[in-house]
Amino acid sequence: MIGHIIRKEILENLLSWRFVLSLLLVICLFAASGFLFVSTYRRQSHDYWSETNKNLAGLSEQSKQLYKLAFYKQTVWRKPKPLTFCAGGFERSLPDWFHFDLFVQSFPDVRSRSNFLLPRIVDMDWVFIVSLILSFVALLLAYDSVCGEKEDGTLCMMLASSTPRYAVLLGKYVGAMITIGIPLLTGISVGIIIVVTSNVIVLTAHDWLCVSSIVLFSFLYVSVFVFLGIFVSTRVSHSATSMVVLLFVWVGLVILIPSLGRLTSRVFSGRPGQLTLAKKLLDVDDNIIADLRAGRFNREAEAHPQANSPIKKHLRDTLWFNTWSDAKNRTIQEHHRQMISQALAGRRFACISPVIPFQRASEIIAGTGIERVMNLRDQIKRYQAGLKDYILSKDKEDPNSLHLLVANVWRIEKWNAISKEAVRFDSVPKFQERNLALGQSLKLAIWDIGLLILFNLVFFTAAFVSFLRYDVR
Amino acid sequence: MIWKIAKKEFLLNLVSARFSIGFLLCLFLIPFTVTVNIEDYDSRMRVYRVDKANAENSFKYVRVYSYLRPEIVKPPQPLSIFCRGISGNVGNRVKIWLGEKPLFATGRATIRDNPLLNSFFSIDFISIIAIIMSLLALIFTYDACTREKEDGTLKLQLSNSLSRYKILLGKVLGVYLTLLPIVLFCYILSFILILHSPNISFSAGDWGRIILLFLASLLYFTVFIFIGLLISARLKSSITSIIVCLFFWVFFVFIVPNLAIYMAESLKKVQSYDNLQYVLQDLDKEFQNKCDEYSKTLDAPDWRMNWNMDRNTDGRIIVSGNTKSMMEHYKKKHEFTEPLRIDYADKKWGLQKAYLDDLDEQRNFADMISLISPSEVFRLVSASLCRTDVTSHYRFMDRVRRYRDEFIDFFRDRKIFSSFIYFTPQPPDTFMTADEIVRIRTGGEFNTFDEFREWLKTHTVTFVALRKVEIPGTIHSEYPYLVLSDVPVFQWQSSNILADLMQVFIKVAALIIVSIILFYLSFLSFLRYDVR
Repeated sequence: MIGHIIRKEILENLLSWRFVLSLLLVICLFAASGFLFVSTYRRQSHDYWSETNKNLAGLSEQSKQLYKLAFYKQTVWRKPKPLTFCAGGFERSLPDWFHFDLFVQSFPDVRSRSNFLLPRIVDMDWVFIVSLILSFVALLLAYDSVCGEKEDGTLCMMLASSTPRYAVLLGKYVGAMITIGIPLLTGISVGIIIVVTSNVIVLTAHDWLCVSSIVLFSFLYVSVFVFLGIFVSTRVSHSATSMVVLLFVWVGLVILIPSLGRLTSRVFSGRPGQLTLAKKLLDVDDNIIADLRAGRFNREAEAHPQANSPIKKHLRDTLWFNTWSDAKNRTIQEHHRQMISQALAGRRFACISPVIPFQRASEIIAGTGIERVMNLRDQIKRYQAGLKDYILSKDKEDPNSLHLLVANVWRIEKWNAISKEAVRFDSVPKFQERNLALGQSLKLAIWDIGLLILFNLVFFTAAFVSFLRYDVR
Repeated sequence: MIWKIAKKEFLLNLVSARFSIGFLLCLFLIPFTVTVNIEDYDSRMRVYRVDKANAENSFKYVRVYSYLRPEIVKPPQPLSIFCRGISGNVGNRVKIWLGEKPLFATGRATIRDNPLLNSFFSIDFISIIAIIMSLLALIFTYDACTREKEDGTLKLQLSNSLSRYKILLGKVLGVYLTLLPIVLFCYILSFILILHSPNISFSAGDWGRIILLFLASLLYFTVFIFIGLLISARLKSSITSIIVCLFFWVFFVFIVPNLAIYMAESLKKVQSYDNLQYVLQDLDKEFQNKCDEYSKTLDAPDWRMNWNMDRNTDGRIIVSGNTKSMMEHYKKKHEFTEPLRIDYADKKWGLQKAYLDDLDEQRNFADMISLISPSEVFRLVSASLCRTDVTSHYRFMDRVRRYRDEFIDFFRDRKIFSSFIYFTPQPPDTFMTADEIVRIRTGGEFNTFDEFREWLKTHTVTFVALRKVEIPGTIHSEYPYLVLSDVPVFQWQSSNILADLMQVFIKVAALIIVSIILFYLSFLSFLRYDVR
């Protein structure tokens, strides 16, 4: 019997206006998003490679003297990811410029060369299309599923036969999901075909897996709205009322709550502005100078286990400079952490809308968004440690050097504290962004997937219970 | 009769769920958005005050003209509480250099925010009005004709001696009467919040602009009322009507603005800023080479010794205590290099202007495409009214560039580039010869500079010998600050209301014409409407 209901639903939907309109709209949007991605990606990767080569050329210049490697300010640009056509993660406006040497990692900055005269916009990626348009289509397909039949009088007839209510509900749900799957899958295939045939990117097996999990999330997300539509339609008696109510709910969930995330995060978790950072950095300088005057580093140098070796006379300055750069680095990192937690707080609030878990899960899988900024920062930290190990190990081979890593280029040069020999550029570690394996990113996204499933369960239960008690007369 | 229908419509709407939900939505959203934007304005004001004080200090405490480089700080626009426009993208500070014309505004205004928060859409009062009001207008009109037909009351009404245009006008008036209180309520709520906050003061002109903004909002939702009416008059059932209405709404409000910018970015290419920078750097090098060549043609000074010197970018230099011939050398050099620097700034400006024009062309293109959506027209109109649009930014930058010209004219008129006060605070009559300096500084150990030079050939520690007696007037801080009362001061008069009105005139006229056409079309459709 369920099969019959499903078939009826699908056929009914397929013949309706709303289906044709949404199919056309969705396909056009996916196609547009594919073309836009291709042109943007081409430009971005051109920029990325020219910047990265500049950085490598600088690094190779410095490798002529080992100690200079430690002080070379490396610049890492965010590499354009092939999967941004699925989930762009607002990367256009997120920090894309990471600047660091061996000791300090500067505050990441937005250096994107977009036109400042244009207002900020959202990415036209799959997540945008699915979260905005397909959720809307889902509501359109489900808003009259129960009350519409009641108005037509067919609901009485259906329930007069031996069909249980849950079968009717499930039939309607599956029918709606299959109908909505048609524009979704067609659109996605159109988008993928455009992207793949343009030859700007080559999708690996891993990418295909990611794409299919994002498609899976899209279905989970859309299904929330189908349940929501059925639920509302079982609560009201006119389909027009149902539409109006759903519309407001949709505007609230899809448009307003995600936008309010920005505002709430500012209201509830302070404002770590750039002025504060500048002030904190000045404080660090003052503290170090005060410590220096108070003779702290003299005392520490005396108490140092190596106080009697040939490096004795340099110990005080070494301690001073290294403590200073450490403190500076810590302050910047701390500030950055605060900013991230502020942004995350905003998102956590906005999680009451299913858009955010869907968006975040897709971003994590595609490797974009805020999560990626955090990840890049950690990778750079690890790279700094690796480079430090490399410099120290190479330095050990040079008998003339003092083997003393000081965070000041003039001192190292004057004291010959780190080797001035040339090293082979091939052996110098270079920064390379590593993508998370699918297993790892799924683990990160598990909360969001759980939330999406939870939304599904809640609305399903609500729809089920209220349909059981629905007055079909 | 029209009024009776309008009253009926109004009362029907008033008791409906859509009215109460829409009203509650505004009641919740408007205070929230306005409060956050007010707080944002306050923090920008704080940044402005700090920057302003810094700029004034750096203007006041200079001893030579070469260090006089005024900085202009733009106060935040109070009306940005209503509409942010591009005010978040452009900075608030512009430094006046000799070697470069002001290209962008920089400063903390651009980076004041947490960049990570950019992953949320940003929303302001105008965007709430644009989203909610258009939605409400459609929701109240989608069933204007279809509902009555479905209920069968339309037949009843038309069987009287009531003409169709009266019914239609009555319905439009009814929707107006329903929506007007909501918009009015939104504005009054924001007024209360603004009046309540201590740091914001609106001028009379600003209040006038807000009233214009209110009128623009009315015009904006009128367009959507007529769209809803037309769709409703063309279709048979309310359900189809609302679906078609919503497709239009999503298309106009969400898809067009994004698509317009993407299309502009992919169709109108802009050369990269880095390329521009490289070309500019080449010009800088060329300028530097010319300066060096010129220096070589000058007579060498007797003693190339700078006793006390600070120098910085853009040819900023301050020296004192040098020999007379060294000072003459500097003077001759600056007489040549500084006008050349200004010429090179003009040369660079040609390239920079081309870059800005590219950006502007791209923006223009995006604006042209987005004009098909009424909500975008409304956004552009309100940004102009709130002075946060691109034109106000251009106007400000033009004024800054003109100020730079005035500033340079001042230097030229006073012949400051060819005077000593450009680079040294020391009065020319106290300049000494090399012999005198050597005699005094060494405490009479050497009588002439040549004697000292002979001695130098056999010794290395020169400074100790020259530090026996200090000559007063060698240190900059011994001299007073310049009196700068006659230097031109930047004055910024933001545009008057008329200029802005002229600018939005075409867009407003377009909105009016579109709504008239829509009304006419819906009238025609309703005349032929099959009421059975």
